[in-house]
Amino acid sequence: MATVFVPASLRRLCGDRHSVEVQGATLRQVIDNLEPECPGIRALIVEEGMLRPGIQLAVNGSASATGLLREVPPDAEVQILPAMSGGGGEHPR
Amino acid sequence: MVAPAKKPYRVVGSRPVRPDGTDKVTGRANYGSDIRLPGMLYGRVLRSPHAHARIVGIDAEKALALPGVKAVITQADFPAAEDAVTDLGETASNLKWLVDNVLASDRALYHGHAVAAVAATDPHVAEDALGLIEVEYEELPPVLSVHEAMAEGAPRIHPNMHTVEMMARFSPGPRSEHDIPNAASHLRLEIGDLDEGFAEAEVVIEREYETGTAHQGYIEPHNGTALWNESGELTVWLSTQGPFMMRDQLARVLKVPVSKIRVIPMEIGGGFGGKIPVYMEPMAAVLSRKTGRPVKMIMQRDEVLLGTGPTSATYVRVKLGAKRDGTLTAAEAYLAYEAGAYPGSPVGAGGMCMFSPYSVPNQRADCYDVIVNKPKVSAYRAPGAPAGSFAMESTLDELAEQLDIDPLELRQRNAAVDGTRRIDGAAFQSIGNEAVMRAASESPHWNSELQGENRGRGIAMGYWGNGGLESSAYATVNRDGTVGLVLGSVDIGGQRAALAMQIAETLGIDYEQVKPIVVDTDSIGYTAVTGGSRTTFATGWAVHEAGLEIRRELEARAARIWEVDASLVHYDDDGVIRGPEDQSFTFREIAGQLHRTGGTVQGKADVMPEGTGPAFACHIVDVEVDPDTAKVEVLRYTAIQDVGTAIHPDYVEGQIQGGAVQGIGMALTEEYVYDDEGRLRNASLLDYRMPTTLDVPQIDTILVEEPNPGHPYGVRGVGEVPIVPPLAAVANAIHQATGVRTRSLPASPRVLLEELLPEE
Repeated sequence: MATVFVPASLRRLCGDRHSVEVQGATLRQVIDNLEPECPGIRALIVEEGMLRPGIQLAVNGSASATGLLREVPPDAEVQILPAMSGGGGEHPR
Repeated sequence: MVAPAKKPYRVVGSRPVRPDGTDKVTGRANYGSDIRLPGMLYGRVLRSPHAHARIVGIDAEKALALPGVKAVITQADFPAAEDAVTDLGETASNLKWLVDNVLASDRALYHGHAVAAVAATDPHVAEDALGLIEVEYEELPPVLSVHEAMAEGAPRIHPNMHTVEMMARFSPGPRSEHDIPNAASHLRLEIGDLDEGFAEAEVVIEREYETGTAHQGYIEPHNGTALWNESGELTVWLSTQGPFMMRDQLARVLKVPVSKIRVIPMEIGGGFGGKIPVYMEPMAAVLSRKTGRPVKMIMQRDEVLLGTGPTSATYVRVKLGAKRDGTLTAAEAYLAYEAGAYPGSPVGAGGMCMFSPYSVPNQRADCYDVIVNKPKVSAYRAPGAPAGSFAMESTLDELAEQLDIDPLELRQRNAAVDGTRRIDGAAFQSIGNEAVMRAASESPHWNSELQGENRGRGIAMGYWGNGGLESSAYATVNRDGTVGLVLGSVDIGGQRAALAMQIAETLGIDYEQVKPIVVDTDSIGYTAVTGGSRTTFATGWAVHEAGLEIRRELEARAARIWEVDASLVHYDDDGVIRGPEDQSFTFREIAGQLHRTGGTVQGKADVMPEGTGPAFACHIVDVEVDPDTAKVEVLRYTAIQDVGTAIHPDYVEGQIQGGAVQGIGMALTEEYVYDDEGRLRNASLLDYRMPTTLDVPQIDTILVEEPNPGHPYGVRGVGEVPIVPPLAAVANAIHQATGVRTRSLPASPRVLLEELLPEE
């Protein structure tokens, strides 16, 4: 099970929970499985099958370089991060 | 001072001469201003004299009648722009806003906003033509601070804009229940239970801080030359941190496929985040298309200050709760950052970074992106972090004073360590925060006695997360045993050298055998900007991978020559290829045989590495404050930083020294000065005061090397975090010298005198 840390602005969708445990071998599966727990959250994270611009997902604190395709190890932590790239550019979607 | 590296290297950690150095100091290096093309025209920009005005009409008839003038353009000459967010790194822009910032449409939203552009056969004719363009304005009331902007009933700069709740950095979610005038967005970052944290606290302290607008201060002005040929292909020569990102923006603004655009990066005279967005490059392109001739545009210095993106002026309120032993139990912040005329300030990073050096179980930061009638801000070295850290580190200093705890000791007691959760919920891994604090406590500076009247010592920490992103590299083995290294990363701070050193290390050859070259967007795979402290990390990884491919190819080639199985051949780290029966080739020996054993050997790599290593810094500063004039003199400065592995220690030290000086400028002298009508009154480097070598002492550096396990050579980004601590370090030193807490920066003599001599 992956533990998804829910940003403050999305907690209302998750019953005010700070984190939610869901199954998933990739970030796409994790987000898909998060949707029943937090109805409406997937549409805010995924757009046309890819991460929405500006959204960054991290696995165990490391920002995904392959967007939703990133593998998620068992018992991983998944965060929705406010990225800091210092003018670094567009992140993988 | 350099701590010993964890692993012995042959090239990494040495200090060779940079390959571009001679050309740069002898004036032979080619910058954008050196471009000369047959039939070239010169473009100039007409800018709004008003901070906020409706553009009623633009009449270019007289300008077009001036001999030598070939074209005048307004935004009507651009393709219509749709609403779509463009990610520019630490800032973002809706495409329509991006185009509107290049050339105003119906309203000018800041003093200096471009409203028209002209191309002529001579730059002086172009300048004269600007005076002949008649623009009818209807002035509107300007909004010039976050306080004015967010006040109830304030005029809305974008009438249809409402506050949205941000889900992450700049990804909008639902419309906020609390619509605040001119607040484009609200982002809340939070861990733990804040109420519980303050309930546990035995001491609570809350303070407010402000910082002014500061410009990156790169010496080379923006420039761009565009040639849109008859086949519909656009070539642009320019000064940029990111040729590919510039290509992407041009494609979106001009509605042209990226395959039709070739961006040629010239040498760059500084950027610090400011040379990522487009400004007059699309204008040069449209003027070229309109005239059929190449068009060159170079900003004047006042245009750089008026019309490009500085960093945000800010307001930050901080509230800390602690036990009497100094243990922090709660940290809360309210941040409002000026975005300028269009949304996209780095306020999220400000909230993200300010508490990160510390382990605080309960944290909250409310971050507001606020529209004002000033230039749209751009990234500037650790964008957003210095202002937030100024507030946190100043309040922490005051807390230490209240609790009678040494300020460094207080920081050490609360230091974030591996496993500590940041405000975004992620846990730190392999960080050097404690090692930095320990090095500071053991430093000669911290252990020296500060003597003399009106003198004080300040200390502050800083944090920055650093970036990864995509990088490409090609490497070719030449017959003479050299390696041609082809790069897409623009060289701002010694990247050619740092990247050549890494592939030399991988190949076990001398640094001098590597010949790096920076190429255009048609000649290398996609490479993200030189920014975000990512280049030595990510492009370094790419050149390492390219080197590994060369090693594998050369092993195969040696096996072919020796007629043995490739598994019996090994390329060793000393650059010698060894096989059975004591056979061996040096790198030069096998390079000389490539052309008759199968041809050239090349390595190539495109990487998007994860595992960026966050950076922590601690700065110590001694100042003396003149009691009569309030002029602050920096007497001594030491910057301690976890740099991972210092690939080229000279350039690492240079980055730290440069960042520290820019931070000192933000602390003491640098600010945009606006009059009541919103006109910038100090758009020159005489009046916008950046520190020079006469204003600062030698910046001593202590490099703490905690290699990043997420990189083959242990690289962490180093370029950004050194600008984070100086603001608070200087303010804390001023307090110790004078007893005055400086809560508004820059602490110019004018501001400080009011504090020092209130009765007068």
